Amino acid sequence: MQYDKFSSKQRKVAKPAFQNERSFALKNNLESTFVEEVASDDELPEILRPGRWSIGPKVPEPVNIKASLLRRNMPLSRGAVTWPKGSAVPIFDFFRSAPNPKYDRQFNIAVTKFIQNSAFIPLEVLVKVRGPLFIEFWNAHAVDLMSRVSYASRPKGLNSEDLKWFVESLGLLVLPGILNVGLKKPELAMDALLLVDAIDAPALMVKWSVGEPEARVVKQWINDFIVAVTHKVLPVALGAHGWRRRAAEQTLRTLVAHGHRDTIENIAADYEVKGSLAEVLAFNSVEAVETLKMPEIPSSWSCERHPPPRLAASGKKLPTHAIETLVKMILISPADKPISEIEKVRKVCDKKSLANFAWSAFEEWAQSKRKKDTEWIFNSLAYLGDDECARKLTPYIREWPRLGCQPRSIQGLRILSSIGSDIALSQIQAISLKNQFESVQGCARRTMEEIAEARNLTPQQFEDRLVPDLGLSGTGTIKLDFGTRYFTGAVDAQLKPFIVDELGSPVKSLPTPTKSDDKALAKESTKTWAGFCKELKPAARLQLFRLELAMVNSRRWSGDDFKRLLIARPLLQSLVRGLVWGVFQKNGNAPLTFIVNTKGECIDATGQCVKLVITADVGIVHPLMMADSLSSWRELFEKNRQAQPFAQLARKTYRARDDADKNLFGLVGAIVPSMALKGLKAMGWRAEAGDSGMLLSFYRECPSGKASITVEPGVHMEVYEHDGHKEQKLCVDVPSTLDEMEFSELIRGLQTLRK
Amino acid sequence: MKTDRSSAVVDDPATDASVLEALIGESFKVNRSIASHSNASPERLRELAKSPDRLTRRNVALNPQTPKDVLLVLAPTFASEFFLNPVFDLLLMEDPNLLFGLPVTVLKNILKRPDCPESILNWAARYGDKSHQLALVSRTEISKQLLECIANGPHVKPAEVAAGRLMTW
Repeated sequence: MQYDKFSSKQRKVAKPAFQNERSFALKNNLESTFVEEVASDDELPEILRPGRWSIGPKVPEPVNIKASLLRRNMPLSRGAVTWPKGSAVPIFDFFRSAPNPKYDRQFNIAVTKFIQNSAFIPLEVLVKVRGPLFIEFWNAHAVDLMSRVSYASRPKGLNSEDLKWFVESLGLLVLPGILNVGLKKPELAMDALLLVDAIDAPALMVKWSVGEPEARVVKQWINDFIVAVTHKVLPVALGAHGWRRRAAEQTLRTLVAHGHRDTIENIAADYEVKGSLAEVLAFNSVEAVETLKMPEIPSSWSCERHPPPRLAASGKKLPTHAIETLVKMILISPADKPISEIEKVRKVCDKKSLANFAWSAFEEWAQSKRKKDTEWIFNSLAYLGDDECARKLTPYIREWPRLGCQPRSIQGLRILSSIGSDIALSQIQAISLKNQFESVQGCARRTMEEIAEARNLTPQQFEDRLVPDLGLSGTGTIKLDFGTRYFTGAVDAQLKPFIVDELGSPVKSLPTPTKSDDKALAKESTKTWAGFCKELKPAARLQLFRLELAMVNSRRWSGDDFKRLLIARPLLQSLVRGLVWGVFQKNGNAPLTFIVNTKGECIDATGQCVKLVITADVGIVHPLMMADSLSSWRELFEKNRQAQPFAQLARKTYRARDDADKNLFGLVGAIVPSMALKGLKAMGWRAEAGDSGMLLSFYRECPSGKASITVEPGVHMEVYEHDGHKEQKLCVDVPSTLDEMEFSELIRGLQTLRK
Repeated sequence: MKTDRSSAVVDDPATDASVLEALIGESFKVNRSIASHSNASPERLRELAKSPDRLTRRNVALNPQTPKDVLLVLAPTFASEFFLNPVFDLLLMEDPNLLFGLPVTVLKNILKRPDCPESILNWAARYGDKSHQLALVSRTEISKQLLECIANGPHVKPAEVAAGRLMTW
């Protein structure tokens, strides 16, 4: 089926009047920029012409490290297990106890027979295989045991947690078995292997560092255990071509990128391959993929079903063979970086048409609920996607975990990160601030941290730089030209859009163009305003949430950043003017409070100008910190009828000393709806899961102490109104160490749980 | 012809309940008239509330003779008729918790409507829960007294929004 921009109904109407698609498109002004003509081969860039993209560059020849050097330099130690802090588990005394070889050998044979003849093996039987014999037994049968061991709470076999437990308990002795499991089921072995700094582990881990959803985790592991990894991957990176070599080369490059070049070069010198290593590191292996077999386009996929990319200069469609070449380039590219040819194609093609092409392919894949072909479809979005793709992809990222496709969400975040535009990054930011699924939210947070770190910024400083302008001018307005007249659009302190006419009178919405108006201009302005309002809604929600959080978390900006990133930002100007700010003193005294006027000047409550030095510590002042100035500011805002973006001056505050009944303002013993407890997560509370998924207590770590809540009769982690219990009785414990603001915000948050 | 005669009978405000009872079911047109008749008995109105005809049920929702429980069943579908029913204010005075019997979304929609009666607004400001009060403070038209009542109330978020609005009053 040929892709067509117009529906069959539209075509039926259009065809009699306009005989060809080109005149139809032009006449209807639907595709004013593009024509339907297909570009000839001569018009194509060199790389997309038939047969031009298949020439392989000269790749470094494989080098075999001498066996004697390998024997001499390869570490003899089997490695070590590195426990995360606080989770070290002592070796089981049970396994350490001296075995009775004769008895155990016989017993082992009996158990082996039993295992061979049983569909499921109760764990109680397995652990009777005693001492070192258990290790032997495990290493020999690990893969088989994974699916066949059963015990009370886990009837369907062992999982990754069990493997981690084996490593924590028995150390490297069980590593061979775990590596065998990893070969078959990487997702089960990875958690356990992340603890292991052993010479045998990198072979598997390096494989997973390429293209797997877990790549980020594995790369962290690679960076933690540099020496073992280098010893293991160096011979492979210099050896025979293939995916193993590519993965090994990529690992070495990752280590070099993280500043470990010297370590790698020293190890290479021991193997007498320093020169070859330099050649490999200098060589772009991404280019080398061309020497591999050209990938096949999946048979079920056809470029005919998708809007074709177009040349930027002429607007002509790419011919089928050129689109197929582009798809092959995507197919052959590694996940984290496209091959350089794709960038060449991007330069000559219209960006929007490339994005439409990628999105169409993705949408087809998403609708067909296909499980295969994910990687290249996702990569195409990462390489060719634009802001619109980023926006449309975000709901999928949020939804996938609900369908049990969490790794896809993580890949989706990678795509947003690769698109890299302000809009795409703000989507990651939105997910990192609020998402139903903690794992996805955590991953988004880490992605933000990584991007921020790469730019030498804190995540919060990075967020400041992601505030979009949405087409607003430097004064925070947008001119909506109708020809003979014009309107001005802007946002108020709560980031709600409004329009005024030339005289400054408010207008409900843009009027229908009259005869005297320029219809084209009016249509364009109406479209611009509609687009602005659409983009404003999520951006406003994010910024309001972010700045309220900044007030509660005592976020500070330098005077310079405050001017550049807040006062000067078109979208934030009105919002900034609706808040009381403060210059915070190093000695902890009450801050010097001020507001920002329409000229962008800082004014205190008496109307005096406040001069901000670039090093000043500026922040949004919590009402508890305003002391005497709170009433003055309230009066001033009332006098000016100035609305606030969120509750600052009108915020409810709670002081421990005002809690006359000593029941935390009625929270102790308060009855709240069971469903309201779902809101605790967004307030920073974490649940402590008990037996059978029941949640009986929650805790929150504040900088100055840990608060906890117990609920009665308790909620179930999946069904909050478990067993028909629609209400819960709260028992709140707040430590006395909490500072005044933390205490107030904590109580305020809990008060919102009440019906 | 028979229906025309019956219509004339039911349109007469003086028609007795027993006569009305005898005419029930003759046609939708007759049923609609009986449903809005001031002499219709509560039992018959209860019956008519189950009519497949929407207009009949709507008229039942407007009839002050309709029993309270029937009104509450009809309220989600005929929200404006429910609170335009003359008996509504009396019922609310008699039982301030009456509106808690309605689905939250229905009540929130009623509270946001510009023609929402003062009695419901007052009720929501005094007795309403968090979601009712949030709906109330989002109204463009709301009196200062109601805002003050909410601002001093126990629900944190509506109180803060109300206090914020009072600042710009």
